[in-house]
Amino acid sequence: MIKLKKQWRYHAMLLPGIIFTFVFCYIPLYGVIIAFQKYNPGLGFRSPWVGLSNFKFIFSQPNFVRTIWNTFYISVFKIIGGIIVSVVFALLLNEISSNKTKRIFQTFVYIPNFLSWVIVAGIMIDILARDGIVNQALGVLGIAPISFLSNSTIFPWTMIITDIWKGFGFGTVVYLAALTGIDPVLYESAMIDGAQRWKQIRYITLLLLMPTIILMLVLSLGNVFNAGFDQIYNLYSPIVYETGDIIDTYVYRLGIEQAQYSVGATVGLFKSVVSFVLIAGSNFLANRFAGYRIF
Amino acid sequence: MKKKFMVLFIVCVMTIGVVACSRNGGDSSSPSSDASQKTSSVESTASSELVDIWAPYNDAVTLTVGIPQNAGITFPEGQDYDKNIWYTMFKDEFNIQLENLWVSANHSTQVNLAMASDSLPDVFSTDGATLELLVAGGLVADITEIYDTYASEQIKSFQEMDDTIFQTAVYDGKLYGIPKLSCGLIDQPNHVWIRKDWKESLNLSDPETIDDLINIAKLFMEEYGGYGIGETQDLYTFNILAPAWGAYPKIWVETADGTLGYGSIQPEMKEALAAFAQWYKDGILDPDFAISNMAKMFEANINGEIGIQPHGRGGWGYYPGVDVVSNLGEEAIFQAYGIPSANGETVKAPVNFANNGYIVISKNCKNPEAVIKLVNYYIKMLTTKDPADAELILELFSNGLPNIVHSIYMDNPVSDYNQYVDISAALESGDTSTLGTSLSKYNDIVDYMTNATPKAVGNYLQQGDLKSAYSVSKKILDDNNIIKNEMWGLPTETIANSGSTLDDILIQGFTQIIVGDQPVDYFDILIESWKSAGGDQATAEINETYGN
Repeated sequence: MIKLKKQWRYHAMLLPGIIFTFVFCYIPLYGVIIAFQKYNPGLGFRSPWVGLSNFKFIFSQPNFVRTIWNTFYISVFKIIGGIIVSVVFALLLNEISSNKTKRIFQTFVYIPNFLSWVIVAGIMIDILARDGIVNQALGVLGIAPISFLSNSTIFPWTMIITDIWKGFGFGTVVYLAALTGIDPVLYESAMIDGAQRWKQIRYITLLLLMPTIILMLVLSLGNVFNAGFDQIYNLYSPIVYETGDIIDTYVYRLGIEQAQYSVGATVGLFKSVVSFVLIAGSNFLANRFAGYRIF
Repeated sequence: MKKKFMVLFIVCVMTIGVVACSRNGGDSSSPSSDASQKTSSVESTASSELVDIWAPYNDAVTLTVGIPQNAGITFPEGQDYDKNIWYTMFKDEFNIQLENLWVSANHSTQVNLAMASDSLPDVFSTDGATLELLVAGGLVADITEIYDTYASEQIKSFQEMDDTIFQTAVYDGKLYGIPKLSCGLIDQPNHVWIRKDWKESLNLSDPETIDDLINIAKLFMEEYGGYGIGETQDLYTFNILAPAWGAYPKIWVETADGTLGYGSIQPEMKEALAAFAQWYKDGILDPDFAISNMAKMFEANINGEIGIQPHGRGGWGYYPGVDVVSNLGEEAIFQAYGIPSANGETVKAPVNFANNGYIVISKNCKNPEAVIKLVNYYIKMLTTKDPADAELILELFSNGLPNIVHSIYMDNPVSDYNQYVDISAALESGDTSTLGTSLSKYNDIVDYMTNATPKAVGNYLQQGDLKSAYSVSKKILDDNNIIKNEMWGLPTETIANSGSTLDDILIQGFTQIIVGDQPVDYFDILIESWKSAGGDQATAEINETYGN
C-alpha cells in the first residue's frame, strides 16, 4: 500500500493506455463470434450460427494453404534480418563518439519508417524496373537485368530486403538506447584484462543486449502472420502469387466480391490463436534456455 | 502540491484526449434520429384506381437519403449536395423534401454500417448482393403494390424491356427494389483504338483481321519506337481481344454439348493464348506487363509510346484521351475500331447483365410512394423531348448533377442508343430543338470540332467523329453480333464466395503461358486445377440456375 502511495503517479500515467487497450482490444473480443456465423450486417449478431464451417471453407480454398507458408517464410526472414541489421547498425553507431553525428545518422535511418508503403512502393517500382536504376547499375557491372518484382523466386527477397531497409531504424533506436545503458566500467575492466574490441563486443555488449533482443524477437513473433499487407499489396501481381501471396492479400481478394465479414473474422481469429501460441511458446523457451522472460 | 496537481491534470487531459480521438467509428455524420419531421402524408395507399401519381403532397413530406460522393459533379454557384436544382424541383413539384443522411466517399461500406446499426436512410441505391442481405435481414419495404399503383407507364415500359432483370429484385413473389437498369447494351462492346495521325502518315488501311492489326503494330514500332500493344497484370487487353479467336473469357457461354460453361476454359482460349505468347516473344507486347496496371498502360498512350490501345466500355476518349490530347496535341487522337477476327468468323461482342443496382426503400420509410414519384419525375425529365423543357433539362443534367440523385435515378435502357441517333441527326441537320438531355453532349462535340478543347474529346470520339465508338457499337447491335453472358443475373454461391480466387488461378496460369514460362499445353493442366478448386461446382450451379 505504501508502495502504491509512492508510485501512484506512475500508475496514473499508465491509466490512459490501459483504458484504451481495454476499450478497443478487450471489449470487442466478443465480436470473435462473427467467425462462427454467416454474418449478415442486417441481422447483426443474430446472424445464423454455422460453427466451424467458415474455417472449413477458408482452408479448402485453392491456394490458401500456400499463403500460410509464404507469410511465414517472408515474416521469419524479415524478423531475423531486421534484428541483425538493427543490432549491427546500433553497434556501429555506438562506436561514434560525436553525439551530434550519432543523432544525424539515427534520424536518417529512422525517416523511411514513417513513409507510407504506397509512396515507397511507387518509388520501388520505378527503381526496380527492368530498365530502372538498379538494373542499370548492374548492367554497368556486366550483370543481366534482374526481374525483382516479377520473378517468383526473387520477389519474396525483394520484399524482405526493402522492408528491412524501411524499418531497421526503429530497432536501431531501441538497441542504441539499450547500449547506452551498459556500464562503461565493464568495458574498462575488460580492457585491463586484455580483451580486444571484438571480444568486448562478444562478451559484454551482445550479452547485455540479449534481453532486449529477445524482447524484440518475442514481440515480433506475435506479428509473424502479418507479413506486411501494405507493402505486398502495393508491389505484388498475379505472376508472383506463388511465393508472394500472403494470408492478408488472399483474404483481401476473396473479400472484394462481397463484404466477407465472416471470412475476415475467421482468418483473423486463426492468426491470433497461432500468434498467441507462438508468443507463449517463445517466452517459455526463452525462459527455459536463456533465463530471460517477459511475462 | 503543485506537482501532484500537474500530474492529475495531465492524466485527465490524456484520458479525455484518448477517448475523444478514438471516436472514429462511422465516418460521416452519426445518423440523425429518425424523427425527421414526419407530418402525415395525404395519399392513402390502398385506393389505387384514381390516384394521381403526379399530384404533390398537401403537407410536406421528408425523405432521408444516402448518396455516394461523386467527383464528377461540378456544382454551379450556390449549389451543393444539400441545396441544389434537383431538390428544389422535388419540393416545387411534389412538396417532397430530401434530406441527406450521408454523402459518403465509401458508399457501400456506409450502407453496410447503416445495416448493422439499423440506421438506414429512407431511400438509397445498392447492388444485388447487398439487396439479398437486406431482404434476408428484413430491412427493406415490400413495394409490390406501391410500384404497381404509382410507377409511371414509362418506368414500367423500361422495366418490361428485360423481365429477367426485373425478376432479380423479386423475392418470394414480392418486389423489394427497383432495378436501376443501364443506359443500354450499346455501351458494352469493346474496341481497338488506333492512333489516327500515325496510321494516316503511314497510309495504312483499317484492320480487317488480327494479322492486319499486328502488322500495323509492327509498322508503328518501326517508325515510332515503343512497343506495340499494352497489357496489364489483369490481362485487360487479352480479355478484350480474345473474341477474335471465338474465345469469350470471363463470361458464361453455351458450350458444344449444350450445357453452360465458363468462357475462360473453352478450347478456343488456347489459340488466343498461343497468339499472345508469340506476340510477347516478338516484343509486340509490353515486356513488363506482368507487373503493370491500367494507369501505367495508359501512361504509354499519354507519352506517345504506343499507337494501339484496346479499350473497354469506359471510352478511350475520356481516359486517357483527354490527357493524350492535352499532352500530344489534337492530332494524336485514337479512333475506335471493332475487334478484328483471327479466323474469318464474325467476332461477337460479349455483353453482361445490364443492371447497375437497385433503388431500395427502407422498411422504416413513412412515405414509400414518395420515392416512386421522384423516380417518375426523373424518368420524365430524362426522356422529354419537349423544347419548352430544354433549359431546365440543361440545368438538371449537365455537370454530372444527376449523380446527386443517385439514390433514385433509373436509366433508360435505350437512352444511349437513341441519343447517338439523335445527335448524329442533329450534327447533320443542325437542328437541336428536340435533343433534350443530349444537348450538352452535342455542344461538347461541336466544341471539340471547332476548338479542339481537350476535355470535350471524350464525347467527340464516342459519338461525334466519323469513326466514333458508337458507330462501331451501333452496327454490332443492329447486326445482333452480341453474345450474352449466360449468367444473366446475380452470381451463384460459389462464384459469389470464391469467384475472384478461382479467376486468380486462371490469370496466373495465362500469364505464365504468355510470358513463356509455361507451354501453351499447360492450359489443359490449368483448367483441371480450376475445375477441382471449385470450378466444377460453379459450373453445376450456373447450369442449375441459368441453364435450360
